[in-house]
Amino acid sequence: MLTDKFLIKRRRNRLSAEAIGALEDALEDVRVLPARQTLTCEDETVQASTYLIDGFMCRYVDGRKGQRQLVAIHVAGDFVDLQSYPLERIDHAVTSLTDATIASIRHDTLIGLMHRHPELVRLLWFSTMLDAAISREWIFRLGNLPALGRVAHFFCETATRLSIIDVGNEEVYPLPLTQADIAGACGLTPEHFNRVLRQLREADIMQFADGVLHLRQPEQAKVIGHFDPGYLYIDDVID
Amino acid sequence: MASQVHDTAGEAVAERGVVMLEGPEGTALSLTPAAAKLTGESLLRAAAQAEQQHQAVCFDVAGYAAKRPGVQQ
Repeated sequence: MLTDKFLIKRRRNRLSAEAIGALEDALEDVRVLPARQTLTCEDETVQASTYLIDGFMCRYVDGRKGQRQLVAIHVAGDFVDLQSYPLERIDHAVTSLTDATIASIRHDTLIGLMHRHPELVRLLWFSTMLDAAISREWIFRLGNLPALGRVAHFFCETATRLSIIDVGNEEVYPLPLTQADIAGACGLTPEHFNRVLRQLREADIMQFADGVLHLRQPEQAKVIGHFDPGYLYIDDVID
Repeated sequence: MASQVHDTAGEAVAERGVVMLEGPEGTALSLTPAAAKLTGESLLRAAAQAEQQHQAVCFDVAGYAAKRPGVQQ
């Protein structure tokens, strides 16, 4: 099933089997986007949204001087640009960080789907609001946390997001991103990120190497990163 | 960056030919050595000016209080 990770351990259990089936049927053009390939450019008009089945993708904004700010990371089960349905034009770029298996849902199909299954409207809206909640937390992270806290927060958040889609376990998570990717998400230079990574490793709190994150002391990492997963809305105990 | 005036100092460290300024709170900058030197000089100048401004404000308050019995200095 392509959509088995969509809102899993969140609100998925509020969807009827018919609605899930209809969402599944609405997805088309399943394909693999190679790593580091742009899916949508800034200011592009889009007529379909993209669902990420497997892999990692991100959203970013380029400044006038060419400086790139990574503004969101997406994992399997996310719609990477559902907001493009009401917005019609996308104000940032969307790209793959790894090979990414994706599928499309045309916006005119989406309209019919929501008409036939009203419970999907609330859940799709929830999905975009979840993106907004994560964005707010990223603003907090960049605005208020020191470098050490930013990196700890990023790893705690990503580990939590991966764990709810059953990727990795409590201590070890595959995270095939480069140090530059994560540095960008944390608003740090690669040199600064490297220093923080070493501090976290030497304190035996966490280690990130060869695309694998080892959380040695998850609770301590949460304290350093001021991480409280409430904004991730993981509130369905049983799916 | 947090919208408040901090009374704790940031810490600068050098690594791999880059100066990194950490804290307080949301500050995390990487600078070339030349940019770091200029930033340091600029910070010292601004700090001296700010101290003078602070003393001037205190003097004004003290003068006002002396003319108005009962006003706390």
